[in-house]
Order: sequence, then structure tokens, then C-alpha cells
Amino acid sequence: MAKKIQLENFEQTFDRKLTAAEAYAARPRKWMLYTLIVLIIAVLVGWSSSDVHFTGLTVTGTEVAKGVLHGVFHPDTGLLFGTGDTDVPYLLMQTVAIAVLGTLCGAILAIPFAFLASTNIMPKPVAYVFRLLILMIRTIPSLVWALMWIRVTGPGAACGVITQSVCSIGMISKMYITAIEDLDTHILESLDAMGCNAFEKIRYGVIPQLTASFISTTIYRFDINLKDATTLGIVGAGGIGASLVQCLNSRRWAMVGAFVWGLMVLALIIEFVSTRIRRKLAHGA
Amino acid sequence: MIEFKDVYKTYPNGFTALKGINLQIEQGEFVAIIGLSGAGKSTILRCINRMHDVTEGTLTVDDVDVSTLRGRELRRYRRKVGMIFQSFNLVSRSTAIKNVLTADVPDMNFFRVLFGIFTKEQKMRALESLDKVGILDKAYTRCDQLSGGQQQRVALARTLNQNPKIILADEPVASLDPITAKQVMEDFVRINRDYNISILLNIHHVDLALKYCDRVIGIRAGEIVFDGPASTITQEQIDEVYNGTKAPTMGDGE
Amino acid sequence: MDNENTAVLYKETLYDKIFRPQIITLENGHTVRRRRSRTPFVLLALILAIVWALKMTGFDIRIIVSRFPKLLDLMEKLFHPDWSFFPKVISPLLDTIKMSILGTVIGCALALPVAILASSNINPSIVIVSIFRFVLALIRTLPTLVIALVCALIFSLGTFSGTVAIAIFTFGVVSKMLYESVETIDMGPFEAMEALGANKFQAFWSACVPQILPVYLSHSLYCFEMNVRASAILGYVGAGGLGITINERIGWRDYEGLGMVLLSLFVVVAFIEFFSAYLRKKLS
Repeated sequence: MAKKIQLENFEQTFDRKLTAAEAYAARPRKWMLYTLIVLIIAVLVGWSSSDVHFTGLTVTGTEVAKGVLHGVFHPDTGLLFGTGDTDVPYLLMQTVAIAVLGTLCGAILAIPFAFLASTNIMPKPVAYVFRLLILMIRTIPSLVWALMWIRVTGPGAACGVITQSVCSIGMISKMYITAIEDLDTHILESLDAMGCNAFEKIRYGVIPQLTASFISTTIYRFDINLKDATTLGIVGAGGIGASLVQCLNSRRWAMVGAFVWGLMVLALIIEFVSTRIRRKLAHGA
Repeated sequence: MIEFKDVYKTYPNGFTALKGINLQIEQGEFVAIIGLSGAGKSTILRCINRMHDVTEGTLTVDDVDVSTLRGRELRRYRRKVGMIFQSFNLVSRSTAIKNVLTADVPDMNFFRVLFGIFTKEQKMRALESLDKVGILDKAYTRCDQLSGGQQQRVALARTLNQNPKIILADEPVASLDPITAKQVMEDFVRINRDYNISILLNIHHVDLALKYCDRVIGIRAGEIVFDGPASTITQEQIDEVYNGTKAPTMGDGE
Repeated sequence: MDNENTAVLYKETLYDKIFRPQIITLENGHTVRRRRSRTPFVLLALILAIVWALKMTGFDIRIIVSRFPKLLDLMEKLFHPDWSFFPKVISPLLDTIKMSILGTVIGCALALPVAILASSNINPSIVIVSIFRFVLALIRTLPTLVIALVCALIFSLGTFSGTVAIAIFTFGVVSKMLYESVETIDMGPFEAMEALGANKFQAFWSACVPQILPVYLSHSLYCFEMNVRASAILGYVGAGGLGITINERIGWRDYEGLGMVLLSLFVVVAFIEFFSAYLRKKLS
């Protein structure tokens, strides 16, 4: 930095024109930094690959790989289009239901957290305590949350709902906080000038600014929760995951294929819709 | 010498931008092309360095028919023709000198390009180019921290660094404020005089064209309506370029 | 109708045809059209969705409230971590970090060329762009845990499977974020490079790559943050790392031990997040 400042004020300091040779001599030397960065990454990669061994395929490895591929191309259509309680459409619906409820509860629960953790509303120490809390909620993996809630609700879809409500708080409130801290306070000033009281200021100054981004965040999280809900099924929290894992473990490949197709189609649809709605919200419907 | 002989240019969408252009520009001239937007000013410049192909007629530069050039030959030809853009077209995250050095990239071997290794001579030459436009002290500053005028000078230095015989400038001062615009125009004048580089520029501001350029070409709807020394152009002739009887208006499908 | 200007301001959608816009006439005869609000419709749909979801999941708030003390018990144990368990956490924790690093690096390395091929401003072939995007979308739909499980079945249990799962996940996410960013870069410098005689590769390398690189690194770091958290659970299906320990502790109902595991994870994640946020700020 010192050298750059010297270069920029050269003419005032020395009262003569800078020459190209002098500018070259004063060039910032960045290659050391770049080499260091590359070296650090190389060392990290080397260190991590030391313990990740390729131990070859398992005895049944090729059979599994073939089976999965075969299943994906020849899914069990009876399961895929069936209407029973254990068929793909019903399980997908249940997964969606878990995600809907979980996201909604999470989005509502996140509001107080977000306001309490915003530095422009709360005093800094309080805000930072709540931020730490939010970080803790976020750090505990959703699977662990599910395993803990299972002790309360027992296995089933309800466990998925409550787990997702809690897990969503972390990310949703983090994004809410950004929206709250970006609030345009000039509007409040002008409302003040018109003689509005605190409630009126919140109703007409704050809420209109926040709704669009809050809704957008919620929809985005719904997208994530839907994929996450599949995972939660693995520990018994309802939805399609449990059946998928069972089929994988018992090697019923055609059924695996049916579940995978169902999952992909659902996720693609939801992602498409959610992206469109969020784009509309961002550009004004 | 640049020579247009009955040049026509029709775009793929059917719009004819140039209709029988005949033009001769000697080495070392400083020419301004004036006209309404859409009249074909940019097309003339972009035909010279073959960013666009001419549809009909011949365009020769130093006795070489430009339309016959292909691949490597075309790229070698473009080395002699520098181009300046309205929006500067610099990598704004990189420093000024890095942008100037990119002018050397076409002559470098693959691995030097890949790792961005430049020799000391190249760096010194880049610094000298920056010195020629008077912003040597900003050599190691990132372009997004420079003002518009300074950025256009970096672009000019990049062009000088390729040792061109011709510089084509497409609305070089349109995004600049009046004072900076004048400074950049003075840079062009100096470069034209000191290095005997032909300069062709498109410009909206007639006053700047008349003040700084030697020769002014007025173009309207793809045809040349005026061509002569800046000192002889009259107000009537300018009016004809900008709103003559046959001038296109919005909506008649020019 | 009588005021054509307002009519062209927006496209009339199906909703506007069913619920005609209200026309308000001011005293001076000027009219303005007010579109019917969609809020009641959206609210109705939302309420129906909630009712349906409640039925579907069998969610009952009373059970949660009545049995909530159980969770508090559990949480209390979690907040009294068993410090003596810490030595046993170190090795799987390092495994988790190693899996994340290697998986992120591999995934990101694969993502760069694919993202560039999937960017419509650089790749002129719409067909190739759409194919790449579709494949990427498909990859992103697969839950990481399912990928890890399949890998564990194929490659045997252990960190290798986890690394592969993380690499696949990273590849999908980073490619998408990257091609979205690549499409917003300034193509002006590319044009300038072509004008001064560079071929396509030279122009791309000196005009586009300097713009892409910082964004790419920033996305990679962000993904690394996510991966450390995600890889902690991969062990649950046998893909190595902290997940095995977590699964074990929960199985034995050793919540003090679990508290220790989570605390270590928390510290590591917080540190990495802080560091990566700092680096990303520097990059932009």
C-alpha cells in the first residue's frame, strides 16, 4: 500500500514527471501472495487426500451400480403411478405437506429471532447473543434435530414437521436480518414528519418494505426444505426418504427407480415454480 | 490508406446500413464521422476492422482487400487497427497496466497466455503507453477506481500498445462529461500528430468534431451527404445531416 | 377502453378476466383502473394448503406441548457436554473436514468448465446449454444423503464415499451459481480483445476469466461452508466422518457425548464460516 500511495502523489512530492522505469520499480509484487495461496490449497488438498483412500469397489459394488442404473431406466410403474398409502404419489404428497408446514412454522418463528438479532433495532450485545443462538440452531444438522424430536413425537410425519420448523429458523432469520438491516429509514423520517405514531410507522413504513423479501426467502427455503424432507425420512421422520432407503438396502432396484423419478420430477417442478415466483416478487408482479 | 468503393452493408435482419459508400482516407488523417444514431456511423468503423463484413463493394486498407482476410491473417491485420469503445470495454476488476498488457496477448504463446506471464520489456512498453496518455501514476490502480476519462485513457493506452496505424473510435466521448470529453479529444489530437496514426471517430457532438478534427464526414441513412475539411462545413450542411428532408424519423422503418 | 394508456401498462392475465379491474372515476372525469388484489386468492390457497398438510402429516401441536419437557431434558444434557469425550471426537472431525475439502475441490474443479459451457453468453449452441442445464438440475434434485448411501453401497463404507457424495453435490450447486454469474459478466472486453486481433481463446482467457475467477472462488468458499455442515451427517449412512459418532452417541442415548460432538462441530463451523466470510468480502 505504501508504495502505491507514493506513486499516486509522485508529481506533487518531487515536482517532476514520473518515468516508466520508476513506475516499474514501484510495482506491487503480488506473486508471493499468489504462490502462497496456491501452496496453501495444495497442502490442504494433500493433507485431506492422505486419509481418503480408494479401497476399491465392494464385492457387490458393480452389482449395486448396475442395479441402480437398471432401476432408473426400468422403474416400477405400478408404484410410480399407484394411489395407495405406500405408493410414490402419496409419499411425495406427504413430503410436500411436511415441507409446507415446516416452512410456514419456521418462517413465523424466525420473525422474532430476526428482529431481536438486527443491530439497527436492538442494542448490539443483545443482537449478538441472538446471532450466536441462530448460528447454533444452524450448526446442529437437521438429521440430529430429527433424531432428538423423534423422542418427543415418535416416528412419523409430525416429527418431520417440527424438525423442519426449527431447522428453518436458522437460515430464514439470517436472511430476514439482511432485509431488516437494509431498511430504508428515510421513509420513517417522512412518516414522522406527517405525525405518525410508532404503530403507524411500523404498519406503513416497515412492513411494506419487508413483505416481498420475507415471502421470497420463505419460498426459497421451501425449495430447500422439500429436498431436506426426503433426507429426514431416512431416520423415520416421514415422507419418501424412508421407503427409498429401505428399497436401496433390500436391493429392489425397480422400486428405487420409481422413487428417484418421483423425487426428481417433484423437485424440478418445485424449483421451477419457486424461481418464477421469486423472480416476479423481485421485479414487482 | 483506407478506401471504400461502392460499399453496401445489409444486416441479417434485412436492414441496409450502408448504401454505396465511396471514401478515401490517407494515412495520418484525423476524421470525424457525424450523423444520427442508426445512420451507419458504427457500421463504417466496424467494417474497417472486419467486426462486420461488407455485403457488396470493396474495402481496401493499404492495398489489401479486407474481405479476403481469413483467420490468422485477419487477426494479424486487426493488430494494425486499434479500436476504442464508448463503454471503454476494460476488465474493470483488473489494474490499468493489466488491461494495457492484454494488447500483447495475441502475439504470445499458449502457456504465457494461460498463466499471464509478461516479460519486463512488455511491461515497460505498457507503462510507456500509459505515460503517453498521461496516467502513468494510475498504472497499478484497479480500473473500477478510475474516473470515466481515466478509463477511456487506459483504453487508449491499450490501443497504443498494439502499435496501430489506424485507430477507430466508436463514440469515444459519449459517456464522458464535457470537460473530460475535451481532454480525451486533445489526447486524440496529440496522438494523431505525434505518431502519424490515422484516427476515425464517430461523434455526436458536432462542436467537438469541428473544433478538433481535420476532416468531417456527414452520413445520413447510409449515404455520405458531406465530406470535407472541418473549416469549410456550413450550418446548412450540418442541418442536412441531422434533419434534412429525407432524414429518417422514428417509425418509418429505417 | 376509454383510457387506452392504462390498458397497455400491464398484461391482462386470466385472473383479471375473471375479476374485472375496478374503474374509479375522479370528479374531473379522469379514470384510473385498479386491478383486483390477488391477496384473498393467495390467502385462501394457503389456508387450504395448511389444512391439507395438517391432515396429511397428522401434526398435532398438543402432543408437542405435552411432551415438550422431554426435549428440554435432552437439551439440558446437550448443554452439559462430556469433556472427556473430546479426544474421541478429534479423529472423525478431521475426517469430516478432509472429506469436505477434497469433495469441494474436486466438485469445484469439475464445475468450472461445465458452468462455462452452460452459460448462454459464451456458448452459442442453445442445445448444448440446455442439455447441460437439465443435467445439472437433475443432479441437484438428488439428496446428498441418498448419493452418499449409494456410494457407500458401491465403494464400501468410509470417507471415500462421503468425498464422492460431496463432490457430486458441490458440482451441481457451484455449476448453477457460476453459470448464473457468468451470464452477468461484461462482454465488452471480449469484443475489445477480438478487435485487437486476439483469437477466441485468447479473448476469453484475458477478458472473461479475470471477471469469472473471483466469483468462482467466492462461490467455492460458500459451498465449502455448506459442505462442512452437510458432511457431518453423511456418516449416518456409513460415509465416514462425524456422522458415525453422532449416530453412535444417539443410539447409546449418550447425550452428554453428543453435546461434545456438536460443540466441536459448532466451533469448527463458526470458525470456517467467519474465515470464509472474511475471504469472500475481500474477493468482491
